[in-house]
Amino acid sequence: MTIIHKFEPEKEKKENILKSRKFAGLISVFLLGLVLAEIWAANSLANFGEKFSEINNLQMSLEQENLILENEIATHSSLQNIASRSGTLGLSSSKSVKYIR
Amino acid sequence: MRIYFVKVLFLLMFLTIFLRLFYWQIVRADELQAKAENQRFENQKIESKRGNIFYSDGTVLAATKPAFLLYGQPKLLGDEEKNRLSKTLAKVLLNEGDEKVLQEELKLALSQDLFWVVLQKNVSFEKRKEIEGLNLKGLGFEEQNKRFYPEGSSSAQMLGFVGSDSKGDTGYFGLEGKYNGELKGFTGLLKIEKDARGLPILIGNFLGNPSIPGKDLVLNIDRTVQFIVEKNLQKGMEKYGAKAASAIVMEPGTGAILSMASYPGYDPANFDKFSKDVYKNSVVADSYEPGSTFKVLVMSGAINENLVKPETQCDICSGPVEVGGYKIRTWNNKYLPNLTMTDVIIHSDNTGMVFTGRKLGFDKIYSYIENFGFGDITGVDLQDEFSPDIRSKDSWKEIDLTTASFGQGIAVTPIQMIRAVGALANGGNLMEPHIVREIKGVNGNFEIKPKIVRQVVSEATSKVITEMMVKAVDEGEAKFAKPKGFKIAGKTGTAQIPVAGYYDPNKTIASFVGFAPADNPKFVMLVRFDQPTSSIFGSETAAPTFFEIAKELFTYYKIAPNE
Repeated sequence: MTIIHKFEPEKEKKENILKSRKFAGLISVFLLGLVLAEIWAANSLANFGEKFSEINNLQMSLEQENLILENEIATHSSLQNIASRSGTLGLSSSKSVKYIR
Repeated sequence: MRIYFVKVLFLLMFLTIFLRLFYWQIVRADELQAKAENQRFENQKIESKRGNIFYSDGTVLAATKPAFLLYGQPKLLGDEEKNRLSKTLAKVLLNEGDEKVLQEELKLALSQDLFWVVLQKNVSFEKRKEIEGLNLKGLGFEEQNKRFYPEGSSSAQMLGFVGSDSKGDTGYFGLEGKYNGELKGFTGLLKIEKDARGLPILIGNFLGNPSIPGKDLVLNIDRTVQFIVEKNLQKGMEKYGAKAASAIVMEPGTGAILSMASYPGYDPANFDKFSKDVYKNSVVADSYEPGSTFKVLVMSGAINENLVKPETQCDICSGPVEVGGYKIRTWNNKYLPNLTMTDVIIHSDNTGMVFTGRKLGFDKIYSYIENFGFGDITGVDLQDEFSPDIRSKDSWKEIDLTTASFGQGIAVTPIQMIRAVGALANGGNLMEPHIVREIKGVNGNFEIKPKIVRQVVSEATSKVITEMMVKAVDEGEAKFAKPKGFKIAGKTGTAQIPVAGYYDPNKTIASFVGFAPADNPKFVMLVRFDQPTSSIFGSETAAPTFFEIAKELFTYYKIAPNE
């Protein structure tokens, strides 16, 4: 038996409208999500300025501490300092040098 | 009519707004853009780090240490806050002196009607940390760089110092002055986009030029040799009661300066606390009459010209020689007839040198003086080098030729003297002396190679004069101080100092110049005492100091005795 579906343009129209509304709604939610994500990302990046500043200051501080340590090493290994310390420890320069052939 | 009137009114309002907008957005655009950029961008000057100076073994002679300028912002503080801040800071910043005085100075600085005031310069890293830990309002730090010398006042005149002027840090005198351009580097500039809180925006604009650090200098100066020379020179200066002293050690084959010392010295880190008179490096900037040390140069000229030989006898040496109304005597008024040229050097006989000078004649003696580099700067890489002029040949009289033959009436600098004697040690080549061996930068390294200026005497002549100088050390006045077993070539010098047109017999420059080991010289050295009081003679002051230094250098260089 052939069932002929009655042509129901009103129902179809309603279904199409529903579909397009859902689609529009999905698009809107997606766009809103994008916008929120963009705002969140931009805000995070903008706030990284503070972290960037902190890291920069930490780097400078560590470089300066390194420089100070290098200078301390140079002072302790200077011949003036070594001569003075060795004198304190009781060491003295040799009075004569003998050469053995 | 009313409608028409309202329309006109609105039109006029729009026109006014339009014109105003045009004014602000077109006419004043550039100015406002600049102001906005100024507000939005922060300019950060990136100081370049000054290059280091290293000894030949890579140890540090001059470096940079972090220091800070502490500033205050008076407009952010109330009166009570200013008082409290001054009191707190005075306790932390005080190094020496009265705390109350410092407190008053800080209070005075903060009471100025300014946005920004300097509170203290050269604040150390540790003090900065301490102040930052107190979380005080209205303060900030700017980075400065301060020069640091781990060896203290060693090599002060050779190094020079770094001072501040309107252009920033600048080197003065010595190496810091000569190589200021290389050591300084280039200051960078960073333009950062900042937010309302003044913090950098990571995705913002970063513009500018990076800083280029200064180049490092690696010297020919040997740290151990410098220490040995300074220690013995200072000891000698005190022992012989000299007003000043200087010494220089050079590698004769290359012109590399291994050591350079002079006293009185100063601390280059605190140069402003010393008299300006001590800044000058007497090795390159002080002139003196060389006296008998000059005889070896005149004698080498005569030998080079085949006018005399070591065994040539002097036929005018049996007594004082009369020249142009003057009587030329020996230093001890003792005369040996038929003196050989070798004996002239051994006994430092002035009459023998008159004989030699006459043999050479005006033209040749003047030519050798010029060829040995006198009357011209040596080209050593130090800022303050000076050369005394040699009077033109036309103005010389017979007495000038005579006195020049034994080193009086002619002015030289120590660096000129050692360079000339160095030529006798290395086969006759006059070398250009150099302190710096290598310049190291981010773009590559540059090595300074030895440079032969000219050949002054032949290799054969240099060997002959060397033997004569060895005999001068073995048999001359200084023989008792000579280290046993080593062949040292040298000559003493005792030159009277001219004072107001006449020579003061009690004031001398006592010197000794020599090189060792004589057969294959490792070093040539000059030791000079200015107005020693215990004895005026070089044989009793400069020579013993020379030999003390030489003994230690033989041990350091592992040179065994060969006699």
